Amino acid sequence: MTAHRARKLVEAGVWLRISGDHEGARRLFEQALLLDPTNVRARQLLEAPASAPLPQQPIGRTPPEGTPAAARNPFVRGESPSRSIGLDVDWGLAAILPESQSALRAPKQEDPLPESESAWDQRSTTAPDVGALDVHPGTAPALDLVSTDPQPQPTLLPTDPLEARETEVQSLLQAAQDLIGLDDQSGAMELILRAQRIAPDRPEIRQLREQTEAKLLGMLESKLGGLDAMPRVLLKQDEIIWLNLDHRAGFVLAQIDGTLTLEDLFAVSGMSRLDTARILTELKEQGVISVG
Amino acid sequence: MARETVIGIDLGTTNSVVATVQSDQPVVIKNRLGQNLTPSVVAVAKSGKQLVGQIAKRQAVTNPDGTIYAAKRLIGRKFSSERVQQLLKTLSYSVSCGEHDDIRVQLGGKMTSLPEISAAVLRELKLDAEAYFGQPVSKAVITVPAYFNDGQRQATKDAGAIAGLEVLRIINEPTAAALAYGFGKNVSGKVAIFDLGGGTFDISVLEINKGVFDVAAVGGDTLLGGEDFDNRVIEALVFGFAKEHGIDLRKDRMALQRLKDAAEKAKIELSTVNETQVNLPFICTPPGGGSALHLQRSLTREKLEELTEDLCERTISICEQILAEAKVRPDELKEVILVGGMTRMPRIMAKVKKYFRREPCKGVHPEEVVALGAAVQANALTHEESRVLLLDVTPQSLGVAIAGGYARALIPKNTTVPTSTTEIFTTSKDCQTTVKIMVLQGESEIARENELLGEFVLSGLRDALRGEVEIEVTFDINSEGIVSASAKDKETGMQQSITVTASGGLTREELNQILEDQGDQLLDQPEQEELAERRRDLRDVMREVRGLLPKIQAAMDGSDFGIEALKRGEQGITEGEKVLKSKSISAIVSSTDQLTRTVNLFKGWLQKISPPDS
Repeated sequence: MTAHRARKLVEAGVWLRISGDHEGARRLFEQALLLDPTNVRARQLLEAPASAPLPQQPIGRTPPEGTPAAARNPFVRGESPSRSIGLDVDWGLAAILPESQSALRAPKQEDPLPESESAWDQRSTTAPDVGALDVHPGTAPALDLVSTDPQPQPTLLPTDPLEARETEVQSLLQAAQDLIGLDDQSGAMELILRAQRIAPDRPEIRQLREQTEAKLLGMLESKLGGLDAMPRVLLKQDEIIWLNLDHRAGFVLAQIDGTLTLEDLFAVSGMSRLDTARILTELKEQGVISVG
Repeated sequence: MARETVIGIDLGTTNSVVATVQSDQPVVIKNRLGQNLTPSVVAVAKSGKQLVGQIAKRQAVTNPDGTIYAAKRLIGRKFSSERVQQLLKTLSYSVSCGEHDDIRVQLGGKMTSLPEISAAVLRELKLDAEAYFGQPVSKAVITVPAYFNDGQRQATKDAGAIAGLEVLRIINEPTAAALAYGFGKNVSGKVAIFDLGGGTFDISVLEINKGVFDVAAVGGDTLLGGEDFDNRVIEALVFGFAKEHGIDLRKDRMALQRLKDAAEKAKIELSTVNETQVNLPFICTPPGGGSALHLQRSLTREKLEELTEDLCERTISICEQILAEAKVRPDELKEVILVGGMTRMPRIMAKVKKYFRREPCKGVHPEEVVALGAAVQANALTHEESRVLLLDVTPQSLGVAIAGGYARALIPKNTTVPTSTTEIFTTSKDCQTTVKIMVLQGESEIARENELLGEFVLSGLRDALRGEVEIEVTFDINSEGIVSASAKDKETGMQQSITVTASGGLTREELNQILEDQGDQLLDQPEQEELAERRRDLRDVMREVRGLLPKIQAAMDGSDFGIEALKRGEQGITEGEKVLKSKSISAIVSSTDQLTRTVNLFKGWLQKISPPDS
């Protein structure tokens, strides 16, 4: 049972790594190894460096000499080079957006598994295929790891599709609970949203999502500080264009003009409070804005 | 004894301004953001928070159905009127018909009257004035367009009352502009007021004589203003971007909001410089993904003029038409006053100068001139020594509907009140024993194109051929603006009458109800503030517990000791999150107290187990 649970955690971890949350993935691999120290895949994934290629430059330009470090490469986390502020994790919208627009899936034109509900369903039932799994050429080390797994461990999946969905939902929820236990609310949120897309009408998922959202919002707001504070942009216009932002983060940034408080920004953003808080927190953490 | 504080308000279609008179000089009162203009926009954000002014304007595109703008175009009008039906096609928010054919708008899930919307803007201006004076302000003069009928004027008065203002007088915008230039004292003759605002264009000719301001001609286009100029800039930017990237930015609300803000800014800048840059980084993310794209473009004054030439020309054609109708030649005018921010555009100024063959008046900011004039009048009404004689006149003609669907004016517009007039009418059909007297207000010869103020029936007329029975119709307007209409059968002396008071769409009962509800709200206000404060306290303590939990966990070092306290802390946070959503102050306080105890417990515990020097 613990071995089975460990395998589920590894699958959830792989999925988190695909969606860019390497820290959350690492925690799940560690948890899996605690449950089943013989799980080779968990060990391999854990030991493999979550190294990243160089960040993509916006619209193919090279930053000029003298551009500050924060402006050159401001939003590239060590573990997630292609991640930009705004779009890639759309907590507020993911549940209502059509699958094609969801930020939690690979770009459409590169999607290797168009029919699958879950990216790892097919990986776990078929032999890994390097070409098919390389959804982010050059930017998805986690997938390379999957593809080079010498002996993928078969997962005992039910043949009934309904049962398979249920199993997947349960796996996701368990992994989410594990991450909540490890205080990784954002990792948990991604898994909950994934589960909610598979089973949108389940009240317990909705409840878990609301709870996690509330916690996450509380955490983000506490990172931002007093909501009556007035944020200010720290970079110059010609530095800003070299940031790695999406249009939603760009919109929020454009609203910061020294006259609006954080609370005002929540009101004018047109996005959910959680999305806005996340964008503002990332802008603050990356030194693009100061608050207070 | 301190002088009473009174204010003048220019309640505009797109922007509003508040002013006062200090040391005999009219001055604009800046809003609490330090700006002279407050956008006349009211919104309810997704969070349920009401937004007014600049902040409401900034989210107008991303929250189109929750943002009410240009309420002035609808206030006091009948829902069924053709004008309103036309306007509805241009509005992004939901509008419906009230019980009395008045207009209601959907705001924050509630059907709201237009006076309530305008009241929100007026209240904001009142608060700005109170912040400026450091004391309550309760009296104001508010301006309206010269063509506003009694209903629209009454609705504006109602808005003032809802905002907690005693409206001393409603005055015409062109009159206010002329007052700001002191023309009541030193200019007699005809003066033109060219008013190109954010959403409307008005041209008025005032006949000033010994302090009496008579509106000799008025006209314009209620759908021509600065926003049309902005839209031309937006179109140019959108077109350029589509050409370069194949993406239509208008489909993305966030992009459109930024374009709108940038276009207005660029347009304003081009009134003083020849070239400006439009920089909108990360304006959109391509549909297939990838890096967000930037919009970077320079715009010249020449290009702006090219894009908007027809709009500039349209203002002059309207001037030609209105002056021709009023039989006024441009060279008869003593002065030309520019009103509205758009008149700062050099191209507009040049066209005005060319058409009127004179340099327009300068010296008062065109955006502020109306509010300053309103402040002058407010000051005059409250301070005997500075009284400027401003007579009330009928803003529109009053008449009756006659056979064939036509209207016959009995009291022409701009008649000084009080006034009275009588005219003889006859029956229009053979054997007609009743006549219906329909009291109309407006300038159209077609009865249905005017506002129906009221109607009554005079019956018991003798059987006779058409034209044989004579009916004497009398209209009377007293100094309060109350219209009485009566009809008398000349032969029998039988008489019927009606008294018409202007209605702004809200009945007296409804207005009283709103004022009463507001009273409740005022009583609620301290509680709301307290609620916000208690929620803040709870959030603070939750944050503290969250910060302590990992430390406690680490200190437990895998043991079960303290596990109950840890659980209590986690439960307290979960409970706190639930309670934060409620409006119960007592529940919030109780949750805060519980978590405060947990914080103390955790802190005490950490202190005990930590080495003294750590």
